[in-house]
Parts: sequence; C-alpha cells; structure tokens
Amino acid sequence: MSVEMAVRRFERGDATATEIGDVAREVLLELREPDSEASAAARAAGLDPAGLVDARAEVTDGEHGAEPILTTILVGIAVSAGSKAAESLWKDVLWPRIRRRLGARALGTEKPAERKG
Amino acid sequence: MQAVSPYPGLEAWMWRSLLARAAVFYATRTRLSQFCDHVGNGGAVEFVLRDLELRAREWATQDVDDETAVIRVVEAWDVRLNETLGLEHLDATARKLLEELRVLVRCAHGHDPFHRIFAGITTLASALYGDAWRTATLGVAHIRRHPRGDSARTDPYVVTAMTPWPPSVAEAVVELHIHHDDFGPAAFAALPILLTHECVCHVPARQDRASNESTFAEGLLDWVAYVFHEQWVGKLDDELAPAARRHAEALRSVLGRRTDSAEGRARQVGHIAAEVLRGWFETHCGHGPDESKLAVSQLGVQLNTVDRPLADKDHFVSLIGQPLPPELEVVLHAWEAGRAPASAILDAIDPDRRVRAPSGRTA
Repeated sequence: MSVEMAVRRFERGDATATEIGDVAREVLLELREPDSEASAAARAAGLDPAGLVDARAEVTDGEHGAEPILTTILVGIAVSAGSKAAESLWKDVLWPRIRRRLGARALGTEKPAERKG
Repeated sequence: MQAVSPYPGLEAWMWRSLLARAAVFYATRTRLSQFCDHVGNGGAVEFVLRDLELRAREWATQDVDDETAVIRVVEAWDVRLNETLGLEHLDATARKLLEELRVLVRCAHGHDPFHRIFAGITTLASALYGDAWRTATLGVAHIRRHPRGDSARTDPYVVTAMTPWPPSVAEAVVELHIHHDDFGPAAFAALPILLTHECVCHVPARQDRASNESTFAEGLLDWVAYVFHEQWVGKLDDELAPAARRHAEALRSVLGRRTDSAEGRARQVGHIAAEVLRGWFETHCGHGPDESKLAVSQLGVQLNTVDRPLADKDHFVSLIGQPLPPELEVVLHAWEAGRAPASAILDAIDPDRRVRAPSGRTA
C-alpha cells in the first residue's frame, strides 16, 4: 500500500531545498531515539514516535528559475499514520527544528497545499 | 552545565553567543552611541567589537551556565581592550571610549537583556491599552541574512520584529528576528523601538487580518509608536534612553528611504497622514504641537482596538489630506470633545454606516 504524501508549497526563503531536506531527515532519524528531543516534541504533540519510523520527507525545488528567489520549495511528508499525523509532524516537530537550525526565514510564506499519491 | 536556550527559535550556542554580546551592550549602554559611532568609523573600536564576537562564539559552547559564560567573555574581552589601549597610535577619543567600556563592562551579567527590555515595554503598553491589551510573550529567533538584504556597514540594524497573526483572544507572541553574525551595538540600541512598534501597533490590534502594506497598521500607528517610544524610553531605562532615541531615529531614517516597496510606501503614507492630522488638531482644536501629537496618538490607539476590518482603518488614513472631508471633520470634532467614540469615525466614513454617525450627516 502506498503511503500518501502530503505536499506543502512555500515561497523560497533563506535556505535551499537541500539544506531543509537534510535537517528534516536528521530530525526523522532522531525520532528513532525515544529519549531524543524530537521524540519528546512528537509525544507533546500527541504523536507516537514509534508510529513515525516509516516517515519520509522529500524537499525539492518547485521549479527551475533564472531568479531562484521567485521559485518555490516543495516539502513532502509521508507517514503511514495518516495526513493529520503528517501535518502535525511538520508543524510541531520538523518545522520548529528546521527553523531553529536554518533560521526563521528558512522558508517563505506557505502557498495552498497540494497532494500527490 | 550545557547552554540551554530559553527561546525555541535559537540553538543553545546561538543564544549564548547573542546573550554574551547583548549583556556587554547592556552593561555599556551609557556609551552605546559613541561605541556605534566608532565602530562605523572602523579602526581600533571596530577591531575590539569583532573580538567580542569571537569571544562570544568561543564561550557559546562551553560547559558553564549563562552567568559564568558572560563573565568569561568579559574577562577575555577585557584582555583585548587592555592590549588595544596599549597601542601607541590610538585616537584620543577611541582611547577614552575603550577606557570607559573597560570600567562599565565589569557590571555585565547573564540576565536576559532582551526580556528585560520587552518586559518594561509591555508593562507600559498594557497600561496604555488597558482591557484591550493581550498578554504578550517574547520569542527570539535568528535569520541568516540581513532583514533588508543590506550590508551591516550601511544598515547596522540587523534585527527586526514581528507579531504572528492571528493572535489568540488573550495572548500574542512578539518575535525578534536577529541576524546573528552582525548583531552589534546599533542593533541592540534599536530593540526598544522595534518592540514598542509591535506592542503599540500589533499586540492589542482588533482587526480581521494582518497586512504589511496597511497604511494604518504599519504607517499611522508606526508614527504613534515613535511618539510612545519617545515618552517611554526614559522610564524604561534612563541610561539606555539616549542611545535608544538616537537609533530609533536612525532606523526611522533607514526605513523611510525604502519607498520602493509597498510596505515602505504604506509607512510613508501613514506617517504623512499622522502629521496632517496633527496639524488639523492644532489648527481646528487649538492644541499645541505636543498636545496634538498626543491627540493623534490617542486616536490611533483607540482606532486600533475597534474591531473592524483593516480596510476600514486604511480607508480612514486615505481620507486624511488637506482639506479633510467635511463628514470626517465633524466626527473628529465630536471625538476630540469626548462626544463620540473612535468607532464613530469609522462609521462616519463608511457609506453603509454613515447614517449612524454622531453628526447625523448622511453626505
């Protein structure tokens, strides 16, 4: 069974898709450690870290552009626990850590979300 | 003890590095203006500021508490100050400043200076807004670039502030966004005006949305924020006040030049409207210059708490010109005489509500 990927689209901020993806994957790895800060944040948000072991994050450029500042960044989160869990994983666990590491303007304003199977 | 950041938006080492510098700027606040001037001129004082940045980074990851880290940074910096004072060819004013900094910095401590300034401003803003005030909490986060994309050499105000919208009914979060690498004395001195802007313009606002292009919220109310900053900063900290006032004006000048953006134009339009309104209170109500400045400020504060769409408040700003529309003059007179609430002003200029305006005019 394929896991639905919830995709969010953002205006480009100060960080590249690669930088954001790297931090997101580091945080997902942290979730495998029950005593990690990321696991504690997940539990505080009502998520079971054990249910997030299969979570994936894909961060890509929305399009190519001669003016990178005008392009978008796509953040895809896939988790078998469902779309609500994916949303909370992003909002409560991944984004606060990405923001802390890469800055408050790592991503720009969010645009209307898209989904793909 | 590992460094622990009190702000979720900052890594522990980054917090410690900002804290150490802010603690030094706070301790030396009576000489902050001179410090900034010398840094801008380059030379020995800029050199010791860079050294402070290095010391702060060095101690940011050490296994000590905040208080100890600040003390260690100051001790290390003092060595550099002393070495610099030993230079044969040192400008006399720079020498005097460095000698004064050496004395003042001994009072530096690990108490959070960002929160100290914020707490003072929220106390004053809460008294101004009364029941309309929302409890405000401070967040500090970092940004990787200058907030306006400029060079810190030409625009040293590498810090900005924001209040995420919508706040909860009773609570708002004010966030400082600091470009960590270039955080210096000028940015520190600008903190009071940035936080005053957020607390006067946004924390207690009752409206439908946020817009950085609002001539009311970012323009007229920003002018009002400067009025209250002028009044409050001495009460907040009389030792920081001279530098805070000076750098508030310098920041105003920097922002005032940015009329190439919608935000910059909104600011300019709102400031001009506030001055026109001030002139109207002088001419038509017989107020003196200071009294009319306060009248505009009180009106701005009251309009800010009227729960109406921001577009209505921007419409009010758009009508302020010379001469004012007659229906607006009538209701402004009524407001000034205490016969009409601020909401009546918005009613009077709203075609759908005009019939309910205290003047009774339907224009």
